[in-house]
Amino acid sequence: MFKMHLYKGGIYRHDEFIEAIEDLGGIVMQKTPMQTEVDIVFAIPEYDMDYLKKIIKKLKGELIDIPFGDMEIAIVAPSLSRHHLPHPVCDMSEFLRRYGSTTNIVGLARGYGKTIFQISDKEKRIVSEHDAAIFSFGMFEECILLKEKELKGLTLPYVLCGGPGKIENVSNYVGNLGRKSGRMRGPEEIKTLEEVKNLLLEMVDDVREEIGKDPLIFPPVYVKRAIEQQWDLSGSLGDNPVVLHLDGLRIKKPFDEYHERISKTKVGEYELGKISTLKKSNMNDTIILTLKTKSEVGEGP
Amino acid sequence: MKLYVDSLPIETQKSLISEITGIVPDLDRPVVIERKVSRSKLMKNIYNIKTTKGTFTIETFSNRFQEFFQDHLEDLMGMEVQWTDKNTVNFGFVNTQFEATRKQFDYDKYTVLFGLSGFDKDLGILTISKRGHISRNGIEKSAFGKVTKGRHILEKIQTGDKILEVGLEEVKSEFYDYSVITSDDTVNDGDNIITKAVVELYEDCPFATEHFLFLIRNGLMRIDERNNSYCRNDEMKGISLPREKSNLRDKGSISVRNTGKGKGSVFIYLIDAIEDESHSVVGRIINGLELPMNISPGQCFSISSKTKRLNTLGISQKEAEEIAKSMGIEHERTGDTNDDAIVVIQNPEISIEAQKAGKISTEGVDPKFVFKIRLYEDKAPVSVKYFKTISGMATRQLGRLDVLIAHKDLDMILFKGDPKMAGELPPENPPIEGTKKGRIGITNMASRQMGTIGVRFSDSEEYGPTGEDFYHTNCVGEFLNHDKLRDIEEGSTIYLLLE
Repeated sequence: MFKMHLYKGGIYRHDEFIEAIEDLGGIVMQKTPMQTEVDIVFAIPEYDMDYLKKIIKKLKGELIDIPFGDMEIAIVAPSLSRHHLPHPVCDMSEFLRRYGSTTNIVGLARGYGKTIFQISDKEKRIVSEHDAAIFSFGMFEECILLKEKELKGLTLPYVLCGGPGKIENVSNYVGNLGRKSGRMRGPEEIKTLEEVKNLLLEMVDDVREEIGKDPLIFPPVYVKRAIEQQWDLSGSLGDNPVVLHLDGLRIKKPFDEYHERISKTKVGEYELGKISTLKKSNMNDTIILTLKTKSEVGEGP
Repeated sequence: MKLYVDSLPIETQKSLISEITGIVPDLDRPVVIERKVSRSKLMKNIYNIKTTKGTFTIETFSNRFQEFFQDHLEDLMGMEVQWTDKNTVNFGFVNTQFEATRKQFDYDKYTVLFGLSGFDKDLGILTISKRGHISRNGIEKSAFGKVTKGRHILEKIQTGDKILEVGLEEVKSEFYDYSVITSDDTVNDGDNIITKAVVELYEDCPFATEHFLFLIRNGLMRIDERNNSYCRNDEMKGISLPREKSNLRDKGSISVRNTGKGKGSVFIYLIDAIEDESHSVVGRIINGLELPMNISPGQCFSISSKTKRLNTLGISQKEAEEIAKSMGIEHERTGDTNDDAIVVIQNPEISIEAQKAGKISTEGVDPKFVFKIRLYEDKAPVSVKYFKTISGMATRQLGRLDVLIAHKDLDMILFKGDPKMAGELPPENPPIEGTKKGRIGITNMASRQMGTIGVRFSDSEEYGPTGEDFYHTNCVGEFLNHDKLRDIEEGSTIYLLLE
């Protein structure tokens, strides 16, 4: 499976590094030269990381993992009002972005209050379009447990956050993340954010393993490149018109106008429409593309 | 004794590799022996369930429900889908001894479990969860597996579909042992001696294909670098190629890099890799991939292509005609059409295009314009590479040099070079003991005239073949019959052949 990394090094001989990625079957996602330095974001299969590390050592560069680079994560706040936002939801969002994630903050319409908490079906569908989610739920254990019950039916990996340090029998919970009146800058607070990241990473690794058992017909990064090369997506919503998901992509273009042409994209010897399903997103009229597995297309065992 | 040579079965009483195959393996050119360790291995907890709509795979974990599943495999075969809904597919019925309960439980998507229809022990059902749901399935926590492959089948299954077969998944790969043999060893019964790789070429990338065919013209390919993804040959690294069609680099694919510092390198892929426009995919190994997969860098292996190279440069018109005839291709002579005239231009020169057209024309010149040379590959590798690239000998057997300066009163002849390319030509193999006549010299990067190629007609203690002092001169080879060079005029072209 492809994993995302960041290379930081000198501009001198960085072309050798790019050639090595191309030779190993990887994809250069982004190259940012800055005077004598260069940052290269790339995706590569894991078979030859040791070989690549030797090249990086030779070029005196640095390799940084971007574990969430191919994911879109939803950070769900009970509401968009000032006592729920911006802290700590924005801190979590900002922290995960450092590890490559594309994060979307979702504010629930009626997500406040212990007994009146609601998450609508549409909101669940919006959250389910993501690869993982983080729910930020209040300061009290009883309140969090009541709200957690409403999340039944969500099948994506999610982490619950709240004020109490620990809650019995809730394995996907991280505490000390209740209401905050300021930025989470202290060492203890950063440690808490690290905890959220690690827990999420553990859950996502299980999803990756599951996908690996019945692999996708093509890696999403490859399909993303094919779409970007074959169609002009400029003027899209957001800076990044094609967002990576673990099992597909989000294409930030109106569904009705674009889904037919996107489905005609040539990927390898296939037409994209035949190896994926495209559906209208519940969020901002974008396109959600889910790639079929090798067994579904008839290539696998 | 029954053996296989390149996967073809043979019966023999001989036991030495050289007696069986006619090849004596050595350290430089080994063979690989494929030895069966085990034909297959049954995965104990993975089952394939074949239904009338297709096959899906479940991975089970150990508990009493898995034991029940294993004990009742035969009962499960032939079971029909009793009902389906948006959350589940339910096959029934089977007699069970499970305790009935009316409690409800939470099940993840793709979970495999047992349930009781109507809370009746005799109406046991095998339920596959299509999505996460809460249900009263009749048995407490009865999940024992998860669907891992073919999940899309669950959406297709309707009431009335049947389970046709339930079987343990059998994995039939990687149960062979490969040994690299570097001496004339004995073989065992059932061994497969892999002596060569056979290549099937595509027609999408004619230039890259010609490049590859030239590399394997002697039937050998060396591995210079290897990792888990590919084996690479760098003999022709640095040679420019046009960008041609790129394809997916599946396992066994052969590609030629067409851009960057590594252009001209040839890759054999050992895993499936995605396409990249910097790689022109020329073909794939259809037999004998085990050779490049197992040998070490520095070793060679035999390789042959189904598509033959058709290049008549450097041979006589008569020989060219015979080769074309043997390949069933029409031949036309142009230029000097005598039998002994040497072919210097073939049109079309690309093998694939020539074979597609079914016709070639060969332009001949008088043999007096063709000179045999010897190159000092060991003493001046960088300069020889430059010389081969300038003369075109890097990609064909016949080289050509355009005369820059020649005069009867001048004791030497100079040929055109490429100053830009010579900018990276370091001092190498200088003629310290004086210049001998017939030696080929190149002016290196230390001089402003870098890249110029020259030959002297008499020995000199003072200057190199290009008229520079020795420090600025790299000696790359020698003409074997340089006497006729004196007759060559300025502006003309000479042709070169390696001895």
